[in-house]
Amino acid sequence: MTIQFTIACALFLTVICMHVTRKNYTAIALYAVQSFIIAILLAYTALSAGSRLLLAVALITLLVKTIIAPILFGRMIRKNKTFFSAQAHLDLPIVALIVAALTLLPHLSALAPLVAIAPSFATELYLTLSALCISIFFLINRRDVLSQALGILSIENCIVSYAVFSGLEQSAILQIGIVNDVCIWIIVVTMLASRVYKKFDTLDTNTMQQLTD
Amino acid sequence: MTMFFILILAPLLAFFVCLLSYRREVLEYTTLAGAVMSAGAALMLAPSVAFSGPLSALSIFTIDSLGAIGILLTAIIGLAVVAYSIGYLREETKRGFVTSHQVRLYFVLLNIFIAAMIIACASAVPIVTWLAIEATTLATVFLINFYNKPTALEAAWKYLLINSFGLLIGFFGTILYLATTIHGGASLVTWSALLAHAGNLDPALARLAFLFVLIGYGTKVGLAPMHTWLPDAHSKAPAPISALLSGVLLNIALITIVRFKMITDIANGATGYTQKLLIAFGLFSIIIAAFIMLTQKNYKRLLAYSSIENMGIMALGFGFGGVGITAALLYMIYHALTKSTLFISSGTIFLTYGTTKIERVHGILATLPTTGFVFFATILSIIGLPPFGTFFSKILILATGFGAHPIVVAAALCAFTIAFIGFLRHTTHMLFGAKPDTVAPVVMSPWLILPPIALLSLLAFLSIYIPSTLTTLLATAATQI
Repeated sequence: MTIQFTIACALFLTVICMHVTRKNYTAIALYAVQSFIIAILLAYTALSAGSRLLLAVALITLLVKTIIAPILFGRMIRKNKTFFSAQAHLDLPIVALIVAALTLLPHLSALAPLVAIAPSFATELYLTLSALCISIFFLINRRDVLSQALGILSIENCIVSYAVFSGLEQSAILQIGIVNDVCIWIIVVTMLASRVYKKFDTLDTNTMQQLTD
Repeated sequence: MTMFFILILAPLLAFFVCLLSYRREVLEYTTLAGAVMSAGAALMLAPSVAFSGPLSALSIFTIDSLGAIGILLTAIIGLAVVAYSIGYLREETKRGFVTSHQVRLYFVLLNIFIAAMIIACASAVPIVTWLAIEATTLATVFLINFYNKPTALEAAWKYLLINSFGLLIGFFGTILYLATTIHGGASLVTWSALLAHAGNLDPALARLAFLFVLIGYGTKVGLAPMHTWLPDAHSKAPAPISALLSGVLLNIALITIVRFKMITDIANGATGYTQKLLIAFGLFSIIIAAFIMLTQKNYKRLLAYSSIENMGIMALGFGFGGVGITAALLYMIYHALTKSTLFISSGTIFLTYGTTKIERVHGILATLPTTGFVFFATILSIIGLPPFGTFFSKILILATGFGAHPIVVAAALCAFTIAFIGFLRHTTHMLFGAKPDTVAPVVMSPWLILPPIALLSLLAFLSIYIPSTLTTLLATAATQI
C-alpha cells in the first residue's frame, strides 16, 4: 500500500464521515483532518521533488487549513452557541444510497479521460473524484451555513489532491496564491456567517427565502 | 511599460490609501484619481495593443486584443461608477442610510474590485485570471451586503456560495487544460503556451475541461441555469456596484470562457462542440430571462434578468462563429455601456422614489427630466432599437446564425419579443405619467447627473462611429477566436 493510496483513502473517508456527523465541532475536526492529509501529500511531493518552495506551500496549507480555519470556525460556534448543525435536506439512508452512487460515478466511461491523465495513480484518482462528487453532494444536501462553507472547502481539498495525483499541480508561487485566497475566503465566510446568525438567529439557510420573483 | 504599471497599480494604490484613511474627501478623491489614471492608461495602451500587438510585463501580464477590450470597459465604466458613487453615497449619507464606516468600506472594496477586474483581463496566466476573478467575488460580497438588511445578507450569501462553487468547478476545468503542457512543472503556464500546445491535449479531456469551465465561469457570467444568484445580488447591491457587476464583471468571465474555447477548438478539431454548448446555454438563458422579465415587479431585478438575456445573446454570437464573433464582441461593448448607464440611472430613481418596486414608480420623465431622458434612451438601446449599436450587432448575430441554426434563431426571436414586451410594459409605466405628490424633490449634484450622461454619449458615439483602434482590436480578437 503506497502513501498516495493511503492518503486518497483517508480523504475519501473524511468526506463520508462529514455526511454522517450532525455536530459542527466534529465537522470542523473532520475538515482539519482532511486538510492535514492534503498537507502531508503536498509535503511528500515537495520532498520527492526536493523543492523548498513546495515544502513552504505544504506548511502554509497546514497553517491555514488545519490551524486558522478550525480556530475561526470554532470561535464562531462558541460565540453563537451553534454546537449542532441544522438538518440535512435528505435522511441518512437516502444519503447513503446517493453516496454509493456517487462513489461509482467516476467509473463512467465519459469521465475516463480524467483518470487517463495519470494511469499509474488510477485508483487514487478514482477515489479523489468520488470524494469530489460526494463533497459537492454534501454542499447541496446541508442546510446550515457552516456545513455549506465546509462543503466548499472540502471540494477545494479534493481538487488539490486531484491536481497532485494527476501531476497537474501549479508552480509553488501560484499554489501560495491559491492558499492565500482560501485563507481570505475563510475569513470572509466566517464574518458573513456571523452576520447571518445575528440577523436570522439561526445558521439554517432555509430561513433565507425572502428573495423570490 | 509605465502605462502598464499605472493601469494596474493606480487602483491598488488607491485601495491602500483608502485602507489607511478615514477622511471622506481622501477616500473619494483618491479613488477618483486612481480611476482617472487607470482610464487614461487604458486609453493610451489600447492603440499600442491594436497596432503593435500584445504588450507584456513581468511574466504574468499580457494585454492582447481581447484583454484590451475588457480593460477599456473596466477602466471607462469604472471611472463613471466611481464618480457616480461619490454623489450617490453623499446623498445616502445625507438621508442617514449610510454611516462613515460604510463609506470607507465601500471605497476600499470598490478599488480592490476594479483592480481585480483589470488584473483578470491583463493576466497572461489562466490560474492568475482565476485568482483575480475569485478576488472579485470576495471583494463584492460585502458590497452586496452593503445595506446589511436580511434580504441583502441572503443575496450576499447566495452570491458567495454559488460563485465560489462555480469558480471551483472552473478551477478544476482550468487545471485539466494544463495537461497540454506540463506534468509536475514548476513554471507558469500562460494562455499563449496553452494555445501553442493545444494540439497535444486529448480531445476527450478537452471536451470535459471545457464543460467544467463553461459551467464554472458560466456561473459567474450568469448563464442559465447557473444564474440564480445574479438577480438577487444585482438588485440588492448599491446601484453603482450593480453597474460594475452587470456591465463589466459578467463580460470578464465571458472573455475567460472564450479564451478556453479557443484552446478547446484547436484540441478538438472542427466538431463544433464548444459552439453547440455555447448556443445551448445562450438560448436557454435568453428564454428563461425573457419569461421572468415579463412578470417582474422590481426594476433592478428586471435589469438583472436583462443582463442574463444579454449574456445569452453574446454566448449565441460566440457559438454561431464567423461574423457572429465580431458581432458578439461589439454587442459586449454596447451592452456594457447600456447596462451600466441603466443601473446608475436606477440608483438616482431609487434615491428619488425610495423604492425598487415598479408599481410604485411612475412619472420619471416629469420628476427627473435628465435622468428620465437617459433612462429612456438606454431602455431603447437595451431592447435593441435603432439607432443604437445593440440593434445592429444583435441583428448581425441573428443573421450569422440563421443559415446553420434557423430553429435557434427563431426561438431566440420569440424570446426577444417576449422580453421586448415585458421591458416596454414595465418601463412605460415607470417613465410616463404625472409627477407623484409623494416624491420629494431631490437636488441633483453633478456627480449624479454627469456620469450617466457621459456613458450615454459614449454609447451614442460608438453606435455611429467606431474608432480605428477599436475596429482593429475587434478584428484581431475575432480572428483569434
